[in-house]
Amino acid sequence: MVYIGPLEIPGRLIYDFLHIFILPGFGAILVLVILIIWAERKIAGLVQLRYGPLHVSRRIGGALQLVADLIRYSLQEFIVPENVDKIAYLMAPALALLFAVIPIAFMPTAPGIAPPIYVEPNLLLILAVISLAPIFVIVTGVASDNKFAFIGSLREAFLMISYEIPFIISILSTAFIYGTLDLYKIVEAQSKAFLGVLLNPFAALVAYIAILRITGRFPFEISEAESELVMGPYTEYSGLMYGVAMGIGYIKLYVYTLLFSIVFLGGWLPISSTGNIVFDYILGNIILLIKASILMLIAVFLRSVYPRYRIDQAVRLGWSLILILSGAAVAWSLIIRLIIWR
Amino acid sequence: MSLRIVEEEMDPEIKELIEKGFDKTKVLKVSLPKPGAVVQRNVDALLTGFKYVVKPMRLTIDYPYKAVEYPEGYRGMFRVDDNKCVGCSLCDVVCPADAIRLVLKDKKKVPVINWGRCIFCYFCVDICPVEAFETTKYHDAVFTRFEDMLTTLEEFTKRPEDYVPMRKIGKRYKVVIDEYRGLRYEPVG
Repeated sequence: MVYIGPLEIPGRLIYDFLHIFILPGFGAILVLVILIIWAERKIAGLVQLRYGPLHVSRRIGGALQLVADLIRYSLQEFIVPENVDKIAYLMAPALALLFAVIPIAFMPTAPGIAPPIYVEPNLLLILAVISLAPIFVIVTGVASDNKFAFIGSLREAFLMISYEIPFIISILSTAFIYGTLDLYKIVEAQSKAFLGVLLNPFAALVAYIAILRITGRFPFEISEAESELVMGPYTEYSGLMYGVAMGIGYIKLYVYTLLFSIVFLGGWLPISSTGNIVFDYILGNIILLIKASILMLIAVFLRSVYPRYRIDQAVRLGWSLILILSGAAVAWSLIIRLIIWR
Repeated sequence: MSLRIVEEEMDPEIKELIEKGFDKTKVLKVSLPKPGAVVQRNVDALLTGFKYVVKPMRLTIDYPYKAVEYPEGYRGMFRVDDNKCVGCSLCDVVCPADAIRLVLKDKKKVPVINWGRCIFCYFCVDICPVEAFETTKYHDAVFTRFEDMLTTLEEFTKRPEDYVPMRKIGKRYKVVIDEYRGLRYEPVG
């Protein structure tokens, strides 16, 4: 490994800044979330035989629609209802956003460069931090004095438990194969053998389905069901806070697909460390983002194909088929590790 | 025994099919899905969606830039010819939305309209004994204030495009029924 160590202060600080604020961090999040929400609306429009967003910036197919929406949200009046628990109501979406974004700081995203916060079992740390975000979604629903929000947060609680356990089991089952909990070493192990998707397809399938549920994408978009519960846990939000609440799902989708493409799709894999740090940083991140973007596009494409599961159907699916498949993933990993690939 | 009861209560169309010689079991089993077909149906749905993404087949029209040419007799906005009007007030009586009210002009009652209430049912146009209303195909009106929708007599005697702010409409298209896509738009003229 050619990690830039924590002691080489100048390069280290510049890289930390770029990691957090530009390429896998906030800048990339902003651009990708805007483009992904536009793509979601556009794809839904095309499948439903209409145009989709087009009027804002016609030359590039209406891609700046969400920028216009954000300007409108930020100019709108932000109403805090009288009976809400004010501190929880204001803090919960911000904390959910925070805990969704923090794992990026632990993720190695380029060959030969350590992430800003480097600890050995960073896969475990990422899973621990990212599992905190749904708790604040539940707090949101309970704090805003509204029955739709309360029902939405209850649904979120049910589904969170029934899908995060298979997700964590299936992600950790790959650690049996790779023999490490360090994402950098996981990518290196994949470069020596096959991609994680081919090594353990069960784990990849379970993880992707669970990502669809955890980030609220379509067959499982149950806690924010527009036609039943106005906006689910975020019903009482308006103005800029509504924009934040709407963005949380997409930001979580971005972070989860980054994790998925590191663990199962080999991260930056076609390239390996060349020694030129600038080249490695840019190309590695871009390859990783392309992989994550394709996964995000598939996730938003499902909106236009699938209807919404009922809550009992989704919970039953999570505790039966998905949990059994995640057990199969663990068994498959053990078989590969102990018998086929020592 | 139970089979005979089913046969007696059966839909006459299915009964007719069975009498024509179709295999009865096949006719009755037609709506049961096979358990293995779930994956196939999911893949079919995804492929159909993907086909529309890569090869768009839009049924809507890009409205303010293109618009449909409306047929003769389209119920758009209209004006009154106050010289023809005899002041019989039938239009005011028949209006179901209470959009028309009468104003006095030279001791004669003449209608004016509130475009905010008008539902374009054309009862007033049909009932007028002297055909004092002149109709147009315009309906693309944009009002920014409620008060603008209350016309005065001076405005209502003009054609709508002379006093109503309207969107600039681009090219006009006509709707053609197409066997493959359902609808198709062809440019007019």
